[in-house]
Amino acid sequence: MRKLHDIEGEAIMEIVAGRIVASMALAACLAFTGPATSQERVSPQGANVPNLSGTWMPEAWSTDEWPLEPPYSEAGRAAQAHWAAHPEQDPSYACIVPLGRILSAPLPFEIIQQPDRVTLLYEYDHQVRRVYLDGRGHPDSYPTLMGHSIGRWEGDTLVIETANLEPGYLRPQGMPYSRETRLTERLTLVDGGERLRAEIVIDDPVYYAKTWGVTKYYRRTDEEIKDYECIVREHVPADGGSQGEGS
Amino acid sequence: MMRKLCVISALGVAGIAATAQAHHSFVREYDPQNVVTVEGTVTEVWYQNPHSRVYFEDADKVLWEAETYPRNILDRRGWKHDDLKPGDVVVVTGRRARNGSPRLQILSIVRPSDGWEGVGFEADSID
Repeated sequence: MRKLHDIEGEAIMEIVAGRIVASMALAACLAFTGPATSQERVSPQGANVPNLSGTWMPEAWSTDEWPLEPPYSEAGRAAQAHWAAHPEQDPSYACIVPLGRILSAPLPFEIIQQPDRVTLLYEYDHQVRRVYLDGRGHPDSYPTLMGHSIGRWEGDTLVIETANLEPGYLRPQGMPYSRETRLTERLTLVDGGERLRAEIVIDDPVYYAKTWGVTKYYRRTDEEIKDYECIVREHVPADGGSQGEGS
Repeated sequence: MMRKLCVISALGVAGIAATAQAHHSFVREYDPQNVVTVEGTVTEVWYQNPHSRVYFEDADKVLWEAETYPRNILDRRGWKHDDLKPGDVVVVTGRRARNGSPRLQILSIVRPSDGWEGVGFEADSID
């Protein structure tokens, strides 16, 4: 077990280094016991805890499941108005993608479940989240795009709490959240393990008058997670133009 | 030979857009009520993330920039990396840039020579 753990650690380091495709294949081989029915999927925590490992594709094609009018506070409404007036400031155009945007995008992610940690590997922008299950708290630290996540099992549900988030936004058209945001995600297998339900609650006392959230569903898929090379470049017309697939 | 085909009104999307307009960055950039159809010859294909682009020149030698989904999504929805090439003649329907520049958010893109259809945004898309 120790040995397996170490090798998985290496795999994750490689992902961070950008060699995502090879690493995915390695991690998949190591983390799972091959293709299995839901009865055969044994979690690292034992038979009493579900195994969420696998690749999950959002069922909703657009972000329609997210409300257009969340319960903004006055400050939140002002932040949204600023967003709407400055589309050029959308950081995703510069390949800077906050967690909220990832959670609403129609792109898949992979879950790797280990005894004391669940790792979420997102296709979108190669982002990685490590959810620590060992009882630690959030550090007193600076904010980041993905924030800091800790988790616990409540029955069949993995509860993930995230703090230390850099101010971000939840949909392409805005819906900002502040540095004070606490995000809670409750992940539960449904439909015999073929679907994953994610209940997401946003607790942001700065931009919202009350907590609110959405429920979204993912389906289990055999599709590979694709590389997501994100490119920022300006078009140079005529003779100076570049061509091809942007690689 | 090639020509600007027409400028059509977007009655179908106007109502939806009106509700989304106030908080939509993409709609800030492209006008859902100004949908045009343009024919031209492809000069460049940027099959990439975060947005793919097709550059094409119309009969008046105007160079258009047409934007659509990231390539990860195009690939899953059937628009493969080598489907479209410079020199192909395409007919693009899209929402025109609000600032009047020759830029489009693609709603549909077809290549009449063989009927190939690319992937654009849904007519009622607000993302």
